[in-house]
Amino acid sequence: MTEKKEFETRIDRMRLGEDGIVRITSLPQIEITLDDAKISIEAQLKVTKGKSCPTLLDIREIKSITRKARMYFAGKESRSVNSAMGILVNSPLSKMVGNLFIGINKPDMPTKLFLSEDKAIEWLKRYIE
Amino acid sequence: MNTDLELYKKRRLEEIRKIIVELVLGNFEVQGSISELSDEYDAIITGLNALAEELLYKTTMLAASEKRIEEFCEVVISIASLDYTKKASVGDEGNEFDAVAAGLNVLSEELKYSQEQLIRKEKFETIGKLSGNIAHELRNPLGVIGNSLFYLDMTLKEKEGKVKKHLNIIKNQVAKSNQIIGELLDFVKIKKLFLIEVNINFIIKAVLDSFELPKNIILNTKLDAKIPKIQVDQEKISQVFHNIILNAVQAMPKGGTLEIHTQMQKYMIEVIFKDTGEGILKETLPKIFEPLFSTKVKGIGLGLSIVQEIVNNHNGMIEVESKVGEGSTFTIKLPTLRKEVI
Repeated sequence: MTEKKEFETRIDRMRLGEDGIVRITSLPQIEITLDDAKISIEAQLKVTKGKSCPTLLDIREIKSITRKARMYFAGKESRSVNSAMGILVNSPLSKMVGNLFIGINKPDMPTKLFLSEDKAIEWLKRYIE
Repeated sequence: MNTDLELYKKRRLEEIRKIIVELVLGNFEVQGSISELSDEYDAIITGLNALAEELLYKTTMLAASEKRIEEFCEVVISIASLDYTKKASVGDEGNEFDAVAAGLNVLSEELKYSQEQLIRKEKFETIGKLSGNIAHELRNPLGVIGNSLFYLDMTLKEKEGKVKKHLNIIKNQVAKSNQIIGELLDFVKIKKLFLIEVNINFIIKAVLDSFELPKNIILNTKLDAKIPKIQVDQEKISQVFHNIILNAVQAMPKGGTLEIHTQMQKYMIEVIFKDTGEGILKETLPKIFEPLFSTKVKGIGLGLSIVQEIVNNHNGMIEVESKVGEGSTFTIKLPTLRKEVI
């Protein structure tokens, strides 16, 4: 039986690349709650088999995220699966959400916003254990 | 022939004039007709049609923008009035307006949270100051009552039934008062932590040893022997476990089962207390950690506030799930790696 390397939750789709970077893409027009955040981290644990990996988070299609969900993504539980996080943004909305995430919630792990996926991957490679 | 051409020109010019008049009047839905000749008149009308479409789009956008700015103003006004219930609507386009809306919503949430924290802090400080003074003032007279009670108990060798009963009532009430004073004093000293490296399972066992569980309560423990030692204030974490077990016992007056588990979840040690008691009402759940909130007739409502404050001071977190008639589960998560201590 082959192990599942890709997961899809209500809010996102994720997979572990061969380069050791987890790619998470927020599904379009999703409003993320604390329960979603918990399910997402659980799924990430399964994808990485409990290992802490650098993560590329694509929030270009995001609509909104609650305070509790932001706190959860920025907190210790998220730190346990994410060694670093590159957040991919493009629209003014996604840039705002990304900036608020980093500025207000001050995640426990190195976190940076990117407009280009290539640059994000280049930066995340530094955090591959 | 010339007359036909003149008539044609006149008709097209009239059409162009009408379109311009409509545009000047602000009717941007106007559209002129294009002939099959594709002549200069058609070129002018095509240009005017495009201009009308563009103006229509711009004015529609402007109206929508004005509506959104109006909405933002309402949200800002409500935030300024400390009403955080109003939210700006985030559209599907992800444009600047949606970004501002998302920003305003986050600002509102953060302000609400900060204000709640501030109120909680002020409440804690006020209760702390009052508690300390009241507890110290009451301790002395209660001590005197206790000593006198002891004396009466010793000297009245053959006590009448009624005297004996009343002596016991006084004894119980003194004990209860001392318990309340203890709770108040605990509240005063929750801030400062004295950290030592200890196994959480050891603390749970010690608390359970000191606890006389009613006979109608079945205790099930499943303590993970592999959990690492962590740095905690042993006395205060004991108090956390004691308060939660006490609450669980009080929630099961007719008996039930209390399960206590410990387990490792990545960088956190989880301690889970699950009872089969009365459960907590959904509307009550968000308030149970507020200082001075109690559903018990005799409680003063500090027990769970103390629990939360101590857990927070250890950089941990506490979660509760409950269903009326089925019971409650309190999960305490304590980090294995310490970052900072308040």
